[in-house]
Amino acid sequence: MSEPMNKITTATPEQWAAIDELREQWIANQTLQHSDADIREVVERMYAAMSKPKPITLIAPSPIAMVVWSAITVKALKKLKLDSQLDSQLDSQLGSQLGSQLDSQLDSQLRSQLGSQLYSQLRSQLGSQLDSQLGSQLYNQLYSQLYSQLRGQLDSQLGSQLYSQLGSQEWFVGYYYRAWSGWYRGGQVLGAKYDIQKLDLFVDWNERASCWVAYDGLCVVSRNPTQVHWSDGELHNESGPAVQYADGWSHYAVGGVAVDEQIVMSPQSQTIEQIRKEDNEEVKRIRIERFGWDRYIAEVGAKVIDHRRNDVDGTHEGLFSLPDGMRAFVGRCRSTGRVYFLEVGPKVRSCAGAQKWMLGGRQGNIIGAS
Amino acid sequence: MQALDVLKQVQSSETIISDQPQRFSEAACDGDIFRQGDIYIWRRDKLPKSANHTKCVLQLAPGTTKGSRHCLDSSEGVAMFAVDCADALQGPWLKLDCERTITHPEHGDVICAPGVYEISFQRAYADELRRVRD
Repeated sequence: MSEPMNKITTATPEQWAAIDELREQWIANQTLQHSDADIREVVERMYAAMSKPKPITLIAPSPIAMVVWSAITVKALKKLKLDSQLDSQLDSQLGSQLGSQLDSQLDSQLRSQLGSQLYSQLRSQLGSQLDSQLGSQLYNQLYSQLYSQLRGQLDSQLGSQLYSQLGSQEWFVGYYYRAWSGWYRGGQVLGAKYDIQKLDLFVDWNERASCWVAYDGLCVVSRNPTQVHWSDGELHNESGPAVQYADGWSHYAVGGVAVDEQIVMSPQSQTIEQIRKEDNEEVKRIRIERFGWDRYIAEVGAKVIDHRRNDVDGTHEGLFSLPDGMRAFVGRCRSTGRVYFLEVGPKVRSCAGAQKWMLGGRQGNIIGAS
Repeated sequence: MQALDVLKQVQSSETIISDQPQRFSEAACDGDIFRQGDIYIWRRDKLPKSANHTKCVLQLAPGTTKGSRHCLDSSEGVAMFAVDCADALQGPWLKLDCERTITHPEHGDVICAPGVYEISFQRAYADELRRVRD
């Protein structure tokens, strides 16, 4: 910041309209494909900002390829180093992980400093409106949805298949910072002035390098996905992947809920056992919806024990017995209209008993629901 | 009645879009509960003796999914507590010095008058006690 600024206290309707456009553009930018040269340029700029020598930059087609490539490359380079076939400069650089340092650079050197600059210029009321009109949506879609689901899938795949080889690497999924980048650009629309070098580095990095593994001398980044499907701000595709990368690595989601490929692509092939063993109730609901409620109720062998009008919720609910002695409560969420098949304890005898069981068996007086 | 007939009745229940806020009145008693999706919000007379003060977080249920976003509208006037020996269904305790609202993207707001509240989670069937995951 070159000079102190007066607080920005007002914004025009045109500025807010531009913020709306920026929000939509920022979400659409998730599939922008950047050139190799642009990706390398920002990696080298970031390393220079950390006072690190220019690294070898590898550009992987997906986050999973990024993790695999970095593991293989580091192993190969270390072997070369042992064999003394590496030039002396790289030999002295390579080896230590820079992930935490790069994360810290993004967080404390860029995000928080840019945030301080923005907040010092915006009247709090404007900041709140910028948050509700831009920041919260970017956070929900890019962080709560994209980040958490891609991170969860990578954790699961690397953990179950390749952990011993790859687990020690510091790999990062950077959508959290990408959401912040959009927020700071929104501040610019309102007239905020930043240290422009820092802003450009932060925004360019987050646009071009959504995921990374960083070492001294080597940085492996993932390209952006080629497809991201949204519906009402949630990852959603009922006929294919919700997120897909150029090499085919994919993530499936329905209504913002992460699911597996079978649920989307061949739901009829699910077995009753698969559905009953599903321990996430939202995924189980989606499994049943896509399998077919009538078919599921028939094939699971449900028999009616009790049903009633629930006057607190204003809905109808049922309690079924299953052939293995279990009980299942079937009810409809009064807010969303979604129907759930919730297995409850085998000793439950009534709908009221099921409600009490779900409350943990405690005494309480439900006076309302939403 | 056949299971499919009951299912049809369940499915045909009127959907009540819960965008109208619900409110704990000043007259609410210890043990009165509002359910917001899969969390229960209990009115309490006082904090339990084992309550330990913890850092206030706005989101009351763990997780990053849309379903887990049961959130306080602000931390102003909120003291948050955890209890010893909490089980999987136990959420935080809240002491509110001013009216606060618990929001959710899909369920109606629950407005809480100043006082003490307990959060608990809906039980799911499993070998061990566990809360519903969504």
